Amino acid sequence: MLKTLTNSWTTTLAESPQGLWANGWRWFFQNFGVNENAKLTDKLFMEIFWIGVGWFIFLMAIMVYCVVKYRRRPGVPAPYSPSHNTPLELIWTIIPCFFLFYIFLEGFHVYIDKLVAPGDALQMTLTAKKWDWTVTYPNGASSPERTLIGPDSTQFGGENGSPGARPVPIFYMPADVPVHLNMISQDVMHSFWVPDFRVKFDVFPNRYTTYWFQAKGPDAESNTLRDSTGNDIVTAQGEKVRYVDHFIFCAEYCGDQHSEMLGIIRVVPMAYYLAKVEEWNIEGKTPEEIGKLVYQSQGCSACHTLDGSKGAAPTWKDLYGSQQPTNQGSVLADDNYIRESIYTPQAKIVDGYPSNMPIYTTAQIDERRLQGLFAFMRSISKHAPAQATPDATKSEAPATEKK
Amino acid sequence: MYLVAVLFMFFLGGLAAIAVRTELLDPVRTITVQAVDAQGKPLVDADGKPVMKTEIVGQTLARWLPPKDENKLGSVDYGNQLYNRAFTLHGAIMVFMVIIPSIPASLGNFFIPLMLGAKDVAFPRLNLLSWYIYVTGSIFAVCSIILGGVDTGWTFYTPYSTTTDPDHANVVLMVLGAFILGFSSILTGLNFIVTVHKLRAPGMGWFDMPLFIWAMYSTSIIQVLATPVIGITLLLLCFERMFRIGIFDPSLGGDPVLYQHFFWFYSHPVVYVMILPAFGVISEIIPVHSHKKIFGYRAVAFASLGVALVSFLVWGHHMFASSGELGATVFSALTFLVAIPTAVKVFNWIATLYKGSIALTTPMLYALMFLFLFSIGGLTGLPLGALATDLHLHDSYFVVAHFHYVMMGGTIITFVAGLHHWWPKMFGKMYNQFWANVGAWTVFVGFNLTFFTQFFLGTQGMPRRYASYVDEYHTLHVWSTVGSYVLLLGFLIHLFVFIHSLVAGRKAPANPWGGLTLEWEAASPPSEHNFDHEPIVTHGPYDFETTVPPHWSSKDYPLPNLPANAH
Repeated sequence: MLKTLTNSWTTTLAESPQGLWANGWRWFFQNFGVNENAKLTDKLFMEIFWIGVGWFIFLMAIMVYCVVKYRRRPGVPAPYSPSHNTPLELIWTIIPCFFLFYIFLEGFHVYIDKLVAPGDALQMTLTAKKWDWTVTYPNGASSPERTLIGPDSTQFGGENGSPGARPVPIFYMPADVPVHLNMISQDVMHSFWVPDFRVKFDVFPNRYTTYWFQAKGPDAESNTLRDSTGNDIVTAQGEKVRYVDHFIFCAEYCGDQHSEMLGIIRVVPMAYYLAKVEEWNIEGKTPEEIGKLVYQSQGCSACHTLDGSKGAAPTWKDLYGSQQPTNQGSVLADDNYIRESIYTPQAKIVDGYPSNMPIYTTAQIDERRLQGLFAFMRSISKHAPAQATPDATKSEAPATEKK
Repeated sequence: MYLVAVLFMFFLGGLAAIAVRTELLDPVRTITVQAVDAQGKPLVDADGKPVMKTEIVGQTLARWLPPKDENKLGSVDYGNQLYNRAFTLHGAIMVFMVIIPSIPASLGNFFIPLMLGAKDVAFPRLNLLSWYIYVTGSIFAVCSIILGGVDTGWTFYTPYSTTTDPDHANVVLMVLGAFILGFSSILTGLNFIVTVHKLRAPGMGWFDMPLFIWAMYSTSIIQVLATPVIGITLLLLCFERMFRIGIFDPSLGGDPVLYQHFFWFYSHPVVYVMILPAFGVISEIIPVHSHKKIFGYRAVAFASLGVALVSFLVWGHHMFASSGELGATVFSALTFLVAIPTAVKVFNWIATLYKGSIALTTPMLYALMFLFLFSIGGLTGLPLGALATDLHLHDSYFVVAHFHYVMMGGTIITFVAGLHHWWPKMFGKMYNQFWANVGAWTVFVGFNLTFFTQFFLGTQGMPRRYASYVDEYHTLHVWSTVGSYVLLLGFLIHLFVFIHSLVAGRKAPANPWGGLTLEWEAASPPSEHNFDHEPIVTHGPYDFETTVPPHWSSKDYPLPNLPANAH
């Protein structure tokens, strides 16, 4: 009976955003489940919550009643009562067992739903590093888009400012299809948590873990995507592109900027997602453009600035071709040194910086992307030999970064 | 001596906690503001649009502890580093140096022999040695703080802990400190087991022992069996860090999940090392202050042993989000199993109140507070034990709130309760009950304000160990920090009440609360060998219905009329 009661309560809660209890619900979750798994989790949580509230009130009522009723009166002894009652003690041992078993079974049931991805899910790779995330899409592209969270952003943050000062990555995800992330870390342990999906899973440096979700798409009331000048982006069919954002948090402590290891999952219609992913495909791009995409999408920008200001690692402005003081002596920052710093970063550490650089593999940054990085770094260094640029417009793109 | 050392570390750990909450009140973060010129006039660009610039604000903590290198003041990283060190300090000190030794070492060493009617623990010199070891371990930890602190969290998860700050020995010092403290635990545990087996007064059988002794006995078993595992684990961690031997770090061929298994194989049973003594204290305070025989003595005693046994089988529930399906399922089921003996105890305590004669003294107030807080702590464990909800709540503020309700609401609150219960016995002085009660209520309000808000933060998605956060969480964090200041105020009131009691308290009678266990037969404070004559046990520890408490007459504590069928 209790189960039906809690069920009906939680169902009412889940389905009536404007109901009396909606505000109570918001205290707990801020939003309603954005997919089936999240809804099931919230329902289970609320069931456990009401079971807990019931027991708590029951126990505390007895306690308060006894404290008031049987308070000490001078000279009056406590009346005799038996101090042992086997049937009673058995009952209160067995009844909780049923509650606990029910909670266990429900928890197990939803857990399996959360862990086992549907076979037709879109396969993507997620890499974590101090302190950034990268998603590699099925065509090998990665998202270079970032946004500041805080007062500058239309979607997040507010008067109180934002954690950290650097922009966080935005990962475009298609709406209403299952997405399967194969996750690996490049350094220490991290944990991938999207509170709106009600799932987190740890990311290890030595094994793949998986994460899957299916996010509800934007509806007519969702925000519209805008370009940098503030105008709505319109598809070829003349429709505005709407989106829903979800925060990504790192939930396993990983060092200084743990609390800034954020990201955003941006759920957009499938067509727009496909267009974006194709736009970031490195096929048909110049080396410099490829290098810039790699810089933005592989998380280099988390530590290396382009404008000469000091980050957690040396700035790339005027780096290429310069002499760098390291713990192994002065080194010329040429192709070979940069290559070494990417694949075996602990070999030489530039003076004044911690050895924070994560290890990249040739699978993450292949030869073509590496050459692109060299080209990009040359283009923003005054020490680099001037390159013959066949197309004047192409060389201007990185130049804007100098501002 | 233990008490002084533990209270000092509690003070240190508390300071770190206040530092953590202060940072979260006003985290180091970036805001965008309109730029102004030298005269303070807002700047606008050529189009009349305001010129914006970013500024870093929220440097409260950084101003308290300014960096050596002044350029770092005003950087986000410096604020974060301070925060990370503060919460590591808070966790490591509170767990290893306060909660684990609080009740066993300070109250246990004093009262186990007294309650058994013995002159001292079985091995007094071993006891002294374990105190020296405790102090040595604490000095290691304090050294690592002075050298700049550790930023790994109290769990020292690899590979972060083996790679952070490679040029400094702080982590090794802290880990060695914890390693050394382990020996103190083991020796104390051994000592108690032998004492309970060998030194019971004539006439005291196993089921005539006070329940505090049962709880301490169960605790000691866990300490002796589990602590060596953490000792080995921490040594391996040091080896890996100093000699680059690959055990846990994948870049050296190790496995970080192995570390988690090792770590929680100890650290989960240790949760019960922390809470079982608290159960013991509550099982003493509630019968004495309500003058009622404890309900279901054997159930409570066996529940202690049951908890100790199951505690070895549930460590995997700290890793639901890291390792897969079947193992996690088994651990989830076993986790729910541990809830049953715990629930049984709570029912028994509440049943003891029935038809009692309840005096709201400070220890009793704290015992009732414990029932309130621990029930919340226990019940909020349910969504964490259930696999599906744990995947959402794991490593969030919900967990933080849950274990503070259990560890602080359970152990620290009970430690304070025990301190008030036995203070007259230990120091021979009474304290001011009115102000002690005021302190207790302040702690109660502050505690709930601090930690209840964190349940909401957790379900809403606030992760643990974040030095700053997105805006949505600001209001609740402010409330939580305000609560922590109220909590601090409450403990300061207690500090002053205790100091006042030591300086100007009136002399305590031998048996101020009318207790029946043997410690109340001794003088306050007890003489050098505890008792003038070896006591002979003629009544059970809770036979309030048939026995007049020692040092009192039947006029003060009249006995009830027993029905014919009693006993």
